[in-house]
Amino acid sequence: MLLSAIGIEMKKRAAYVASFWLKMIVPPAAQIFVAYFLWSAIYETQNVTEIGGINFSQMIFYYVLVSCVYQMTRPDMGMILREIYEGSLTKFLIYPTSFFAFKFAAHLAHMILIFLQLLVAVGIYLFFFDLSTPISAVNIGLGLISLVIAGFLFFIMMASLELLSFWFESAWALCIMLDFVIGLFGGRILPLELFPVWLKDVNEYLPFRYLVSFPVEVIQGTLSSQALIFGFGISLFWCFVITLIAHAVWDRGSYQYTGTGM
Amino acid sequence: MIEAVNLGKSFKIHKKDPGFWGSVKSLFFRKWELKEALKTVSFKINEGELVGLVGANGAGKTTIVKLLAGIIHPSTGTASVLGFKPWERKNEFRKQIGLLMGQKAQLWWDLTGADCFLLLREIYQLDSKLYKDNLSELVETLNVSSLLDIQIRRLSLGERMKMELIASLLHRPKVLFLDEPTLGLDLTAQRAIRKFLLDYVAKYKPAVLLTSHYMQDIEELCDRIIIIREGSFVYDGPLSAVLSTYAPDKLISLTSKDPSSLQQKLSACAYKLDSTETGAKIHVPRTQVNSFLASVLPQIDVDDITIEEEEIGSIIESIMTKGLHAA
Repeated sequence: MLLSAIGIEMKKRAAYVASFWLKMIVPPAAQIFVAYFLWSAIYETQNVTEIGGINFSQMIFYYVLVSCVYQMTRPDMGMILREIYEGSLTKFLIYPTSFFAFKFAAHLAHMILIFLQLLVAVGIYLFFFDLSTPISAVNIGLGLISLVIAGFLFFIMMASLELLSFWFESAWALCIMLDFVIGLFGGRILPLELFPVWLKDVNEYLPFRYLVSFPVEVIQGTLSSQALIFGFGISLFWCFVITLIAHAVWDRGSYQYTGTGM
Repeated sequence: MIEAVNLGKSFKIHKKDPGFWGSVKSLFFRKWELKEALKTVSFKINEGELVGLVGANGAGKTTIVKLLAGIIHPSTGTASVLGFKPWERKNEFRKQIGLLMGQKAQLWWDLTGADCFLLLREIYQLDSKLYKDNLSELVETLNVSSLLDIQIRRLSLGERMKMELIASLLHRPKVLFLDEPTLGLDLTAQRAIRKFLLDYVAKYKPAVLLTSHYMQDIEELCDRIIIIREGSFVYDGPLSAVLSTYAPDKLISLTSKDPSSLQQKLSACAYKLDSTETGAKIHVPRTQVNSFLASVLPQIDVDDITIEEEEIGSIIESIMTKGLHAA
């Protein structure tokens, strides 16, 4: 069922041909150019070759990867909230399938399409820059695993909040807040290397880092084996805890559901 | 197959004053109201039975469908559908029911019908042969084979409803809930859906609960109806008995060249009489029609006689809106 749902979701997204190709080309190119101009200005103004131990081309590569990873792991915000609010959740209560599995399949389809974007973005980057440190096949393999874990963790965190719309009409605002917190503590806005040490240490135990920055660090190969094991352990721990929370919220929430609009 | 005992449902509804200040106020003080959508009702529906559930907007029809399909939980009472409590949402239960919602599309708008059905095949885990047989039978009967490769959002309402019907029947459910299946359709499409449903129920014998605002649907499809008003059942029985129970009289219209003389001669009769421009209308109990005519015709000079039956639709509408006594 999962594979079929992924295939169908990809067909849905590909149904809008122009949008599909625009999304494939424009965002990665825009991300690279914005990062390039912003950070070249910062490096020039500061008159330095490294910031927090990161040189200019590494910084650009980090932003290319981070932007794509963020887009990939971040679920379509409001996907569950809209179903509840507009009453279209009803059909999932009738079908003999798990609502979460179905929605996660849609998210996986989204991730696969964005992964293609990531390849385009890396291609554009390599056209202008050289890789300062080569990426090994092991790092790519581990990176893919960390991406799937991050995709699930982001999905289930956002789902837990969106499920609050069973009770509150304002759950959307909470989702936007969570997205901002993830942007900040996940390393999308700034590399986590630039954070104060104490904050970096605390952040290692929180789930946010494992949604964006961690897969990038895994792909770049900047983590020791110990840090890799720790990172995978913590992200799986959060996957487990937040899945339990999401199921509890779902059980309580679907009890409240009124099937609006039917 | 379906049994409800003292089933009831109340909703807590948030009330907000109109306008901007109403919205600001509701941020701090929320007013809630408890609405009893369904007072306690009990009924049974057997295999192969097609029962029409009729009532005005907000009477509680859809609430019953939602409860029996397991979409919402009851506030009181219980129900059993195919031996399951619907709101426990067991997969074994969900594989055996079908729901068609006239007001709410269930299919995926960006996909073609063929893709939607393939996905449903996976969801219901249908065996390949069963899926092919069911799909080809439904597609042929509803005459939609040329529409399978068109995105759902590009279909007309009638065509889309046929696709929705296929989707709800693809797994050949033993219990079928049809909530306004002909809503918004033109007369031809309504007729096609009704004919299809009659044939389908005759062939596969599912238990069907149908809600509709169109009396034509009820008259053509249902042998038994339940009339619901303000959350309570006011009638549950054969459709044919509605006429004899709630329209005990037939209306006899007599036309004459001399209406005033006709009216004068009939004024002494025991039944209710309405004078008309061309004669009179008399409300005669349906068992007394022959004897009444035999007794009055020799005494009066009439040009034409018509005997009318009150329309079943208007009787049901009258019960729905005003209650049993008005009917």
